Amino acid sequence: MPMPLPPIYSFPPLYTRQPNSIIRRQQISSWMDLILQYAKSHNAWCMSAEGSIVTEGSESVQESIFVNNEIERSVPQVFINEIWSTMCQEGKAIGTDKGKKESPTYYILWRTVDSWASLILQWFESAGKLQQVVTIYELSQGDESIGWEFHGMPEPLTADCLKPLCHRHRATIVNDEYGKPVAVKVV
Amino acid sequence: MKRFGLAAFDDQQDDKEYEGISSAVLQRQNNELKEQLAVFQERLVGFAKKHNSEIQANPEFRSKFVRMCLSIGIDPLSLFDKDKHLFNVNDFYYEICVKVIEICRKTKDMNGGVLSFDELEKGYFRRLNVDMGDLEKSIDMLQSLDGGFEIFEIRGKKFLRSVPNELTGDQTKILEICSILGYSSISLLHANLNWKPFRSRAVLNEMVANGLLWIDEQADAEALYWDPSWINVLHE
Repeated sequence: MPMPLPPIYSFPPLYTRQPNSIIRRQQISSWMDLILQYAKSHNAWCMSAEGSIVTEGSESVQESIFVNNEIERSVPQVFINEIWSTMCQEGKAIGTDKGKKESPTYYILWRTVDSWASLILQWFESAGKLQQVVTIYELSQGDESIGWEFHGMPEPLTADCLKPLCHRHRATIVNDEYGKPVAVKVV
Repeated sequence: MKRFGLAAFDDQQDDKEYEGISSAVLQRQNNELKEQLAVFQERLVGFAKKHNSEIQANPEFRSKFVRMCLSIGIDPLSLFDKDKHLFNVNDFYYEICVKVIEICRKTKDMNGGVLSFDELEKGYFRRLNVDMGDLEKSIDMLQSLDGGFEIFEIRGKKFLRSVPNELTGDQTKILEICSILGYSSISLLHANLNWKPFRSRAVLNEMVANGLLWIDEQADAEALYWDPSWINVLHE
């Protein structure tokens, strides 16, 4: 059951970029909280730049978080881009299209990458999977991770979340012939 | 098959069992600690009630006691019992003062430093068993901080201003209009106060720059200027 969004979502000026920079910082951080809460309660890993949830495989057009029909307000795209870029800077979102400044879709991180990394490490430890090669598919989509918060995480994002473990020399990533990460071994 | 040496520990099955045992042990320790903490907190409250007069009489003892409460997660406000005069009654109000200042600082970037008493009471103090009377008394005490805090009234509702710049008469009138619908606009000000558009625009824009109002450019006919204290009113 998705949680209802907090009252500020119905506050009409939230949809207009505020000219006072201190207030605007507060406004953007309100938007970031809304997006994280929305994504988490819908179990959505990925959202389009327009603010609708993207699920793998289906191209269904869904309502956007930035459009509020109840009060007839919507956030202009320019301001939406400002919100996304702040989110990326603060590590609360990652553009799926790496290298580009404005990506068409974003991964939403309601936990930080480091926090996902340590959760994944916990899984490796408690499932007894240390010292074995586990495919990224198995890790994020396999039956053995059902019930863990990272279950269902898109594979490219999972690979990103494993990077902190590599830096700590706890994990080694195995790439396929195109350089795409396919498996991981945690020690 | 029985294996010896290090090889004896290689078995997957064993690993899982050890994992199970270790997490069970951790869980049990965790529960025990939680229980102990709860018992300790309870005893502490009992102790405070019993040694009430000593705590009141000895300020050093009192401050040490309050610090101890804080460090194990008891909010001193929950220890105060107004009717039985646990501690000095004034301490209760000082504690509220500190909370009020904290809240003002935390919400300043949202509302430009103007907060309604209603919001304070509903949003923060109701769950701490602090009523409107206590709140007003504490905020009265804040005024001795000389200029940092001021109480003003709009249509019978009290507001607290925590930024040092005083509100002008024009600004107060606009907040008055806002307290009816949540927003004001150039035409509303013209209809109600007979202000000329350039006067309204100047004051409204200044209030947006100060963070007292939020601008909404997507309304039908003209820009609306919203009072941020309506964020929490809209959903009630």
